[in-house]
Amino acid sequence: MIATAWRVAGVGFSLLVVLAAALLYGVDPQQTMAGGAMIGEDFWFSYEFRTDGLTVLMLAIVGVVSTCVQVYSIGYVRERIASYTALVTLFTAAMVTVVISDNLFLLLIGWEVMGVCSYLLIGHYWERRDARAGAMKAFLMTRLGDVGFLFGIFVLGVGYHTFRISELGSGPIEPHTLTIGTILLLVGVIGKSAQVPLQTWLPDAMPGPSPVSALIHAATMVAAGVFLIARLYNVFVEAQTTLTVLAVVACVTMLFAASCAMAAVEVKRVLAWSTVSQLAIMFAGLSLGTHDGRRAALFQLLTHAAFKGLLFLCAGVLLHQVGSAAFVVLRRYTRRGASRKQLRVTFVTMTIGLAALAGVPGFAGFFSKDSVVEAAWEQAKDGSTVGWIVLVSVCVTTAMTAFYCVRMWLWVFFRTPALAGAVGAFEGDDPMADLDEPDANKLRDGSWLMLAPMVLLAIGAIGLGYTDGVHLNVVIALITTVLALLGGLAAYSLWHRGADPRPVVLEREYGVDPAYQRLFVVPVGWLAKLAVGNDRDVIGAYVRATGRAGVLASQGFRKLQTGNVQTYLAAAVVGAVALAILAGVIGS
Amino acid sequence: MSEWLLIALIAVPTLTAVVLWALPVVTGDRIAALVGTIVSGVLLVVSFVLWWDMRRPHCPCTYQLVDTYGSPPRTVPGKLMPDVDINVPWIPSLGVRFHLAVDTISLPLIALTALLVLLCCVYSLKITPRIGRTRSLIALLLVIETGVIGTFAAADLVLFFVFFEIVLIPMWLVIDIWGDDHDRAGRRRAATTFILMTVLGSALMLLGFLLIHRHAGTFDLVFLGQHPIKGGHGVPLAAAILIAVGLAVKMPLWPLHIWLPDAHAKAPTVGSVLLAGVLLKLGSYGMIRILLPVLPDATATIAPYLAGFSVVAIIAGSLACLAQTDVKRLIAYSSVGHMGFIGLGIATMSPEGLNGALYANLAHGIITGLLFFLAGAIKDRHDTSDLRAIGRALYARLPRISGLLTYACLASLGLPGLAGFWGEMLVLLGAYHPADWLPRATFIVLMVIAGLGAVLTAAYFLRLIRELCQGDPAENPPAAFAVDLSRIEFVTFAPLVVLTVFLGLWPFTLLNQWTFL
Repeated sequence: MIATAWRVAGVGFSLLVVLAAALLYGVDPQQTMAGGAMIGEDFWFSYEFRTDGLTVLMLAIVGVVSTCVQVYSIGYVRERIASYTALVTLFTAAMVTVVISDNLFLLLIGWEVMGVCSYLLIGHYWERRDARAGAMKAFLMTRLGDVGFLFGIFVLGVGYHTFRISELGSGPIEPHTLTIGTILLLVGVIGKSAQVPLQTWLPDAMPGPSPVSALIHAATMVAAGVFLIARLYNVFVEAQTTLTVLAVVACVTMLFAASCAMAAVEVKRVLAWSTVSQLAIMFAGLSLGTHDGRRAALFQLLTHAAFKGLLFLCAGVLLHQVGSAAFVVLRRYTRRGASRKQLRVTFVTMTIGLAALAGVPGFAGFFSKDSVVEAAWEQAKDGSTVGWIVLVSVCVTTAMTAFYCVRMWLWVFFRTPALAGAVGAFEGDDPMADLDEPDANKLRDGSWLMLAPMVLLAIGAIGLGYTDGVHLNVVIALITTVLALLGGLAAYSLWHRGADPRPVVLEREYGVDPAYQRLFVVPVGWLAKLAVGNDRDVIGAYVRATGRAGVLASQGFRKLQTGNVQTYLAAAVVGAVALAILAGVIGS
Repeated sequence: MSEWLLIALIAVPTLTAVVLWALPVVTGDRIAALVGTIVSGVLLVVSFVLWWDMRRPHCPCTYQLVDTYGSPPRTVPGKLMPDVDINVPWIPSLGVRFHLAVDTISLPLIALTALLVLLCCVYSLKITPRIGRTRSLIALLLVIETGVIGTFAAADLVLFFVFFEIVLIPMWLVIDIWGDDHDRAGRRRAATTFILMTVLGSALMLLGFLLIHRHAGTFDLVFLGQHPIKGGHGVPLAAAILIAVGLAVKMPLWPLHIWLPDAHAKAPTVGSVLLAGVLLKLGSYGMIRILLPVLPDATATIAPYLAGFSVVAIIAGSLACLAQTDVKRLIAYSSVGHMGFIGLGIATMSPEGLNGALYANLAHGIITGLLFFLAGAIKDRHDTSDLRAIGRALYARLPRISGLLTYACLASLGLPGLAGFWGEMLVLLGAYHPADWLPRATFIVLMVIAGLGAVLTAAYFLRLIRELCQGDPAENPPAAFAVDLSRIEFVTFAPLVVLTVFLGLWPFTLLNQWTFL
C-alpha cells in the first residue's frame, strides 16, 4: 500500500518535471527568490531560482529519464520498494534543485543530496559486501570533491561579493582569484563526474540496482558536473588556465576510461567506464571555451542521456533474467541465438543503444560526437594546442569506443565460431560449463512496464541526433566513421578467433585503486589508532597522574596534621616570613 | 511581564524538583516523569513566548541600511543587548548583582534547553534506567535545566559562574547513579573525571573573572560589553587565557576533552542527551558572550591558537571516531569534532564565523541529542553498546531505528539540506574571511584542514552505518524480543527529526536573528 503510494508519487513527480519543462519551453529567462538572511555586512544568503534554455533542456532530460526509470523500477525492484522509490524521487528532486537554482549554496544542497541518495541507492542491496563498499567509496570520493567545491564557492562568492549564479562573472575580480576559484569548483566537478583522478568510485558503484545506475549515469549526478560548467560558462571562459586543466583532465580521462572499458568483463562495468569516457568527451567540448564547444557538449549530454539510460535498462533486463551481467555467464546463453530470440526487445534496443554509443552513422551518438570533433577542429585550425589535444583524443576514443561496443555486443549475444565456442576466453570460465547447457527457455523479456521505457529511449537514441539540425562536416564524419570501423573490425576479428586478450594493467585498471588504498586509507587507519592511543596514553596519563598526585598530596598533608600546636605555629611563622620576603623582592 | 517569565524559567524547574523530593518516594516515582513533562513543556512554551515577544519590535531593515550607507566596518558580535532585563543588588559588598538578561543569542539556546529537557522527561515516561529512582532523576534533570538556563541568562560574571557550577553536581550524580549498570567502577571514574576537570576549568574561569573585575571594576556583562577592556597583553591577556582555558574544558577543546568520551559513554541516555545537547554549549556560549565582547583585543591575540586547537580537535576527534568500537563513545567523540568547528568559528571573530558557531551550537544540540537517543534505544535493546556485540544488519532487525540512525548520521556529517550544514559552512566561510586583524593565511590553512576533517567525519559515520546497520542478515539473526521503534520513542524523536529538516532547509529565520549584532 505504502509502496504503491510511493510509486504513484514517484512517477507523478517525474511527469511533473516533464510538464514543467514543457511549460517553460520558450519562456523568457526569469528569476525569483525565497527567504534570505544577511550575514555580517558582506554576504546575502537566500534561495534564488531561475529558468532559461539550459534549465529547460536539463529539466526535460531529467524528467524523461526519471519517468522511464520509475516506470521500469515497478517491474524491476522487488524488495524495500517504499524506501527505494522515495530515494529515487528525492534523487530526481535534488537534480531538479541543481538545475533550477540560481544560488551557489542552493545548488550545493541539491548537489550533495544527490550524493547521499546515490550512496543510499548504491547500497540498496546492503547485504552484499561489494554494494556496501561501493556505496561508501562513492560517497567519500564525491564528498572529498565537494569540499573543494565548497571552497570554490567561497573564493568566487567572496571575490564577486555575491553567491548568485547569474551575477557571477560580472564585476571586477583578480585573475588569480578567478583561477583558484574555478579550479576548486573543478575539483568538485571531477569528483561528481568521476574524472581522473577521482574516477574509481563510479565502476565500483555498479552493485546498485540497474535502474539507479541508469538514473545516475544518464541524467543526474554525473551529468551535474557537465551542467555546472555549462551554467557557469562565462566564469570559466575567463579563466584560461582552468580550461586548460579541464582539457587535460578530460583527455586523460577519456582515454583512460575507454581503455579500462576495453578490458572489463562485465556489462555494467563496461558501461560504467564508457560513461566516464563519454563524460570526458563532454568536458573536452566545454574546455574549448567556445560557444560551439558548449553547444556540442550539451548535445552530447542529451544524446548520451538517451542511449546510456537505455543501455543500463537493457543491462537490468539481463541481470533480472540471467542473474548476472558477466560476459562469462551471458555467453553460455548464446548457443543457437537463445538469448537473442528469447530477449528480442532487449536485443534490438541494446543494439540500437550500442550503435549510438559507438557512433554508427545515423544514430544519435554519431552526430553529437562529431559536433564535438568539429568544434575542436575549429579551434585546432587556428593553432590552438588545446584544440589539437581534444581533437586527437576524441578521435582515438572513437575507435576505442567502437571496439568495446562491438566486443560487448558480440560476446553477449553471439556465439563465437572459434573452436568449442572459445571456452576459457574469460577468467573463471569453467571448461565443463559448456556441457551443462543452461536452461535458456526460461529467459523472458521483462514485462511491458520494463520494455516501454526501453523502447522510448531507443527511439530517443536514434531520433535525438536530428534535433540539432543536421549539419555534417563530411570530412570529419568520414574520419570518425573510418576510425570507428577500424575499432569495430578489431573487436570482430578477435571475437571471431575466440580470443579476448586483456592486458593485465588494463584489467587492474592501472592499479589506481590499490594505490589509493595504500596512500590514503591505510595511513588514515594508522592515524586513527594514533589518535586513540594519544588520548589514552598521553593525555589520559596526565589526567591520571594529576589524580594520583592529588591523592599522594592529601596523604602527605594528613601526616602534617599532627595536632601539635607548636608545629602549626612554627609553620605559620615560617610561612609569614617567607611571604614577607617574597613580597619585598617583588615589590622592590 | 517578560521579566516574570524569565524568573519563572529559572525558578520553576528547581521548585518543581524540591516539590518532587518532598513527595513520598512511591508517589514521586510514579508521577515524576509526568510532572517533569508538564513543567518542562510549560517552560518550552514560556521560552517561545519570550522569543516571540523579542522578535516583534525589531524591524528586519538592517540589510537595507547597509545598502544605503555602504558597508560599515565589520564589528565583533556577541555583545549582550539585553531585551528582558532584571537587575537587583545581590552581594553589594562585592559589587555582585543579580542581573539576568536575554537576547537573541541566548534565547534560542534557552529554547533548545527547554526542548531537550522536555524530550528527556517524555522519554522517561516509559523508559528509565534500570536502577529506577525516577523521582530523583527527573528532579536532577530539572535542577540542571535551572542551571543551564540561568547560565544562558546571566548578565553578571559571578552569577554566570554560580549557575555554571549548579549544573555540575546534578550531572555528576546522574552519571554516577544512573550510569552504565554493567560497569560500576567505570561510571564512577567517568563521573569523577568529569566533575574534577570541569571544576578545575571553572576555577580558572573564576580567576579570569576576578582579573576582569580588578581591571574594570565591575562584573556586569552589559556594562562590559559597552566598555570593552582594551589591550591585548598583560592583565587582559591573562584573563582571556584563563577564561578561554576554563571554557575550553567545558566545550571541550582538544586536549582538554578527555573527560568527555567516558562521561557520555557511561551516562544514561537522558544524561548523554543533556550533556551533549546542552552542557557543551555552556562553553561555546561563554566564549561568545564573555571573551569576544569583553576582551576583544586579548581574544584577538589568542584567537589563532584557539583556532589551531579547534582544528586539531576536529581532526583528532574524527580520527578517534574511526577507531571506536562503541556506539556511544563514537558519538561522544564526534562531539569533539563538532565543537572544534564551533571553536574555529568563534576564533575567526567574523560575523560569518560567529553566526556559524551559533547555528552549529543549535544544530549540534538537536542532532547529537537525536543520535544519543538512538544510541540509547539500540543499547537498551542489546544491553550493550559495543559494536561487535550488537552485530550487524540492523536494517533487517530494527528497520525504523536504524533508518533514523542513518538519517541522524547524515545530518551530523553536515549534509546540505539538513541542520548540520549551515553551521559548518558558515564557520568555514568565516575562516576564509576572518576578522581584519587576524592573520588570514593561517586561517585559510586551518580552513583547508577543517574541510578535510569534514571528509573524515563522513568517513566515520559511514563506517558506523556499515558496521552497524548494513550486513548480511543471515549471519546476524534478530534478537527474540527486539521491538522496533516504540510509540514513546517515536514521540520523542519526531520533534528532533522535524527540526533537523527545518533548520536545514530554512536557516533564514534563525540567521536573521543575529544580523544586527
